[in-house]
Amino acid sequence: VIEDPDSFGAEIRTEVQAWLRANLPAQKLTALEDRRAWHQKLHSAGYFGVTWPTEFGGHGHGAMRQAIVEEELARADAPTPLNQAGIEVAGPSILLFGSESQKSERLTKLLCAEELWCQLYSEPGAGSDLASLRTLAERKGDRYLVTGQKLWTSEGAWADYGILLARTDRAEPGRNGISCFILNMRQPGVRVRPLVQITGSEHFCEVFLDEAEIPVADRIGKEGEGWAIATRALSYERGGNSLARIARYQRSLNSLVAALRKLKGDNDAATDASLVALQAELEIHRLMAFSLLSKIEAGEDIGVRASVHKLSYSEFERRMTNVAQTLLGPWGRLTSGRELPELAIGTSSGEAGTWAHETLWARAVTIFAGTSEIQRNIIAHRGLSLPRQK
Amino acid sequence: MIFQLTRDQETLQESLREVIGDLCVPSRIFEIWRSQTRWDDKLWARLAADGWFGIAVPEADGGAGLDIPELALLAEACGHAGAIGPVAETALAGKLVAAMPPSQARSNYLSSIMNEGARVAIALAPGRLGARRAVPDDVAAKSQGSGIVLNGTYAFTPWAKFADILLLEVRIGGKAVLCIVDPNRADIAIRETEMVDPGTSWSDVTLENVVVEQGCLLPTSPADALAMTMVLSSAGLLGASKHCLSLTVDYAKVRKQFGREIGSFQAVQHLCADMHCGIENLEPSIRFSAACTAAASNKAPYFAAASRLYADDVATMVWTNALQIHAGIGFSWEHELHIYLKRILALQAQYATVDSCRERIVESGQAFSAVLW
Repeated sequence: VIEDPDSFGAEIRTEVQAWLRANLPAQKLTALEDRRAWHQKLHSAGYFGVTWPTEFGGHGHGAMRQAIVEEELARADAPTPLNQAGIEVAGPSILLFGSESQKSERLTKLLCAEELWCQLYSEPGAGSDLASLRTLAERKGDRYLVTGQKLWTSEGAWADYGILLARTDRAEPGRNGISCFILNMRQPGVRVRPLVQITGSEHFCEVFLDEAEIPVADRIGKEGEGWAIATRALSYERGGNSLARIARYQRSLNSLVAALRKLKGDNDAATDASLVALQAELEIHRLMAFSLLSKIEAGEDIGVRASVHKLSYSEFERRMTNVAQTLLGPWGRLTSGRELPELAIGTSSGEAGTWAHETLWARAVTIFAGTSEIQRNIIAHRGLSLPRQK
Repeated sequence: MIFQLTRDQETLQESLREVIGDLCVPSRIFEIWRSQTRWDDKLWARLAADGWFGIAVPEADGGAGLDIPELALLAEACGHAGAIGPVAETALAGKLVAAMPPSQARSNYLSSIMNEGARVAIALAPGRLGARRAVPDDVAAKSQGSGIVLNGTYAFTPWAKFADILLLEVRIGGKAVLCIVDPNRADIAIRETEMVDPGTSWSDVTLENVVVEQGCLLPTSPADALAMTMVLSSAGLLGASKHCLSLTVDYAKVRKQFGREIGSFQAVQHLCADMHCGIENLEPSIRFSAACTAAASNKAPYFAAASRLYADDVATMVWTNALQIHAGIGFSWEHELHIYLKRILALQAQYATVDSCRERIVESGQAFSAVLW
């Protein structure tokens, strides 16, 4: 039986579209409290925490529904919810490895954005080689004192809590000495400094920890279990935003064609070879995402396909921006939509911007959450069983 | 689920692997390459005897009643093995002929495809792929009494030299239709073209005042038939690409340089990872376009063209990387790698090209649209 692509997930789509007509804000939201209000609206409508268990404020649905909901939100260019690191990293770590009191105290508040979260993994000396991290958590009675520096922390400026990886065993330099913690960001030992990126915006922060305190009860799992928790938690939300991401790329591509038509004054823009190739490839990624989602729905472990997916979309995004720059020439370098409104496409992270910003931002996408090179290593080792370098 | 093979399809794939994979071993393929006829009698007889050419013929007509998704598995198996002959084309012709209204001609053609091992060549979109001559690439068709008169040349038609049945796209009064013709008549000249894949045959088919009867028209539109051949050639590209990858990974695990397996070098691993990634992405889109084409969805031409365009790209990257990693040994005639990479080069130019895929994507009106699903 073949499902008609036109009617795939039609019921969910109709529902979300109707909800958006009544609730979509007319303007971009920038102030934190406006964004929090929007987030809570999404959550109570059932559009945030779609797959999470109902006992912790979730809605208990499958991954396919979540992906279609997010795709519809992205297609409408709806403002993004808060707590991305919360739902992707902190939440799954607590859900899968946390104590009962950690779950009941943190999860519902995380979902409805009453408490905001950030991720404290990367360090100046620990990027791709995350297991070499050096931030130290020293046990002192019923608490830990944490000292070190964290980097590339999204939403660090307003976060209430951080999901932290720190070394509890000084003698153990690798993965085994790492533990996972809930860090209260609102304390004297924590200093957050915004990091200005090449796009000019402040998406990330640096976090300095100087004897920051963590009660022992806020450790997730056992000492030394941090690496396993981080790895396992990362795969929890895989695929959830895959369709939304593709919908954003499609919006950008559509805007690019609209801009080129205006600039060139004819319809030829849409027949450009490199553009049509991008359109075809985007379609292939959309179908791949559906294929992945149906595997997730069926309870299959998608394993190395997560790396295939990440490598594919990030390399696509970077290539798309390169094509756009080639075709737009000077127009691609503009930083506002004042000269031509079609150029104001926003970045794939949901920030306001133009092709100039998106072209720069796309360079972050092939770096974050495992660089393209790391993904290729994973595919070679785990997917193709090629021998590891000695 | 849309993208996964059913149990039955998996079983079918398994038996294809046994039949085609076991017969088309490199030593036999090289032997056929060297032979005078360059034709695989054994494979064709086996496929005919097992009923593979009737898999897309309705059960009421003695076929297996399957459709494009299964034909795609057949095409993939042929691409994977470097099989010689118009296997997928002939099995597809079973479906197209079975769609004709009942007639003596229909019964005869079906019987020759299913029972007599007839070989089918398909020529679509004349002129588009063979633009090397100014005229008369496009075939001029005129109605004459109860029949149609055909004039012109179909360039680079796969397997025409071996064909017992020809399916041609013709335009009558501005309308494109498919017609079925016997190639062994005196007014049809077939001249084989030398090309890169010794396991493929291309010919120019020239028709001079060939008169065919109205009853030889097929109900399937050439546009739909094109979408089907696009899916099947994409599947062939997928099969050949998979074979290039597995040969390469196996080789990288045993070939040693600088005292260790070359597969342990990151530079080699990343080339392999890119190959794997492209193939993984390609597969669901072929399964999906096959299902769309079988269901005659109005988006089938768009999805078929998008998959084929992507397949072209992936296959080029795959065989290039495969050869790079095999290096010297892969460049030698005795190594089997060039069976599959030459098949890729052939398939990429059959029934569609990068240009014609792009045209179809643009014509479909589906590209760059705000609402796609």
